[in-house]
Amino acid sequence: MIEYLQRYGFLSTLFLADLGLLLLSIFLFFLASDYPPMARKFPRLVLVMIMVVTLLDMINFLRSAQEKTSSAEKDDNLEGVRPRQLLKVLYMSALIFIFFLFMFFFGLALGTLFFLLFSGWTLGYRKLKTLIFSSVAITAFVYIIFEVIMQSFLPEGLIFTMMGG
Amino acid sequence: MYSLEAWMSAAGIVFQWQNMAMVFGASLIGLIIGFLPGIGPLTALPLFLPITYGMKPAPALILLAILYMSTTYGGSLSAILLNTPGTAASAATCLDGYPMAKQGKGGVAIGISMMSSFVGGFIGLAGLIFLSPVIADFALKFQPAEYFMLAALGLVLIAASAKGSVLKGFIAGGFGFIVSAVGMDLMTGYSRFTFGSTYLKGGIPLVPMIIGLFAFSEVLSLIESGDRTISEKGELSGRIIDGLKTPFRYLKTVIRSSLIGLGIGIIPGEGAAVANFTAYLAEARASRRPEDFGTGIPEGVIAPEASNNACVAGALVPTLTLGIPGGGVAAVFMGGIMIHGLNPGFELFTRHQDILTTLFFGLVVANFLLLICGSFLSRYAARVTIIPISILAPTIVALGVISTYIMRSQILDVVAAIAAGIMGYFMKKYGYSTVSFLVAFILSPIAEKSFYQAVLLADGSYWTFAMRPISGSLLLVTVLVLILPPILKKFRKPEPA
Repeated sequence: MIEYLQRYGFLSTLFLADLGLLLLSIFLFFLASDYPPMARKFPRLVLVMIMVVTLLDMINFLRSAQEKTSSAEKDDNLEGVRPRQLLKVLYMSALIFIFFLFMFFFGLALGTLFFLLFSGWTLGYRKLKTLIFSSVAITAFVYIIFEVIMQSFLPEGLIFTMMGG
Repeated sequence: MYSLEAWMSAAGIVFQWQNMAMVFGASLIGLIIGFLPGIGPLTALPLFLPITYGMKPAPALILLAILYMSTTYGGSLSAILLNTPGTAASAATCLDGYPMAKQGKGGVAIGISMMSSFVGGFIGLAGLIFLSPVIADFALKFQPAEYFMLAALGLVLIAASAKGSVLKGFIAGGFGFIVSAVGMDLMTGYSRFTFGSTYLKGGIPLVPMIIGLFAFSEVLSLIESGDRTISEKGELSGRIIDGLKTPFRYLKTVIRSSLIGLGIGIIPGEGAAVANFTAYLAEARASRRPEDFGTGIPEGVIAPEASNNACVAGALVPTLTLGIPGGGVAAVFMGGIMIHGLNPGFELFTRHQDILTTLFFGLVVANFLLLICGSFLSRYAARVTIIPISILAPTIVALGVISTYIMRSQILDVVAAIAAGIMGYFMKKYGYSTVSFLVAFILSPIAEKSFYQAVLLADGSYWTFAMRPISGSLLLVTVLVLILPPILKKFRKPEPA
């Protein structure tokens, strides 16, 4: 059974992605049914369009998977995501959060500097002098633009607030 | 219309050293601010508005208009070098500009972009100066049905030109509409798709969406790719000067795209986000080699760049002549006019023609200065493509997070940007166009509001979209865009192997 599903493309991640989107659009379509007519008409119209187009895309994919036509080969060229790639993506997403935490604890200037040093090093850059120089230069640029010129409202840094208070 | 005396007087004011220094400074600052991901004219103008309080009206308006032009252009630099448009106005530039940068032709792409922006800016300004009263009359004929059809045409054009599967382009566009619908409905005040979240009630803001979809997703792709630099060759080849000459070999493209930008800019509510894609797609359709678009060809950079800068001037036409802002930035600009005690419209064109002439002259001078400043700055900006990714990626993250946060000082905006980044990464991996998604996200509020208004005005009849002359023509074009390519494909002779 699984072999059959695999052979005809039903277990391809590309097909499953379409299936997921189809289920999501059906769910949202029913979710919108409680809304007042003026609030639901347009989104439901769009959701019906998504359902139709997603179904067409799924049929298209299965047909090309069976026929092994050039379009199927083209679709096969889409990579999908492998577990190792997923780990890298998760790590980078975590780094974005880490920067935000750094900014809150150390303020804009120090937070940016620490983050650039930390992430540059953990991402594999080993020329320490260049790393320090570039981190300081980028931090200075960020500070001048956001603090001096634009006078943006940014976190002062929890550590400095605690020391001051 | 404008006397020689008025122009001479305007030149006298603009060429005062203080005003020239201001024009030069604003051009430079605008270029730098525009380069930052997600920070465009809509962020820069309100920030600089308080500075103009103490200034005379003409220099104040020149300052705001130059910031508008230079931030728009600065956004194109980051679109080419980082695949991260400063704003949606430069999103189409990524499609061919970034592949050129990856091929090591970042310098050439920037040169092309600068000269196209320069010529586009001039054509836009010529339109603003000489055609403004006439064209503004036509824009007045646009009713909700026309706005809706224009939005529908925009989406169909973008989905149809999406790389890979057209169907996936439509799916992405459809979800762009739905994500934009999250939050309180403008017509009824009812919360849609919020799942009880207070944050989502306000809707998902555009800036985190742009930064996430383009900047963060690109960072994720860069890290995952394992490449050492953005430029695959690891070095820059091609000089900016070669790029500056290139648009003159594609004059038809430059003029056509500029006119598209000017025309779209004049229509209130549309703006450069629509103009750059429309010009890009029009060029792809007119081209003898449409399949090369998206691989890094000059026409793919010229079209969006000429159109978005022409659009900036175009957006000022209804703002100045009718008091109807051409878009969000034009609305801020109009605020700048009003805080100086001036009223846009007939009065501005009759009683304050001196101010208007000075503004126009200032813009022409600024267009020249932008070309000079851009040439100078771009030499250094182009080197971004040979910075190691382990340094560049965290830098983009830092700029993106700060740019997202300063908009409203909300932590959840950063979370939204990260979520959009992860979504954008997966969309690319599975062949769903992030560009279609973003365009639909931008067009959705205009489309939905116009749709309801048009139907209400027509007493519930949907025929209004087909029966009105302009709207009907737009509908016809939309249908043709949908059905013609597959038909033409069938009749096209197979290419020899």
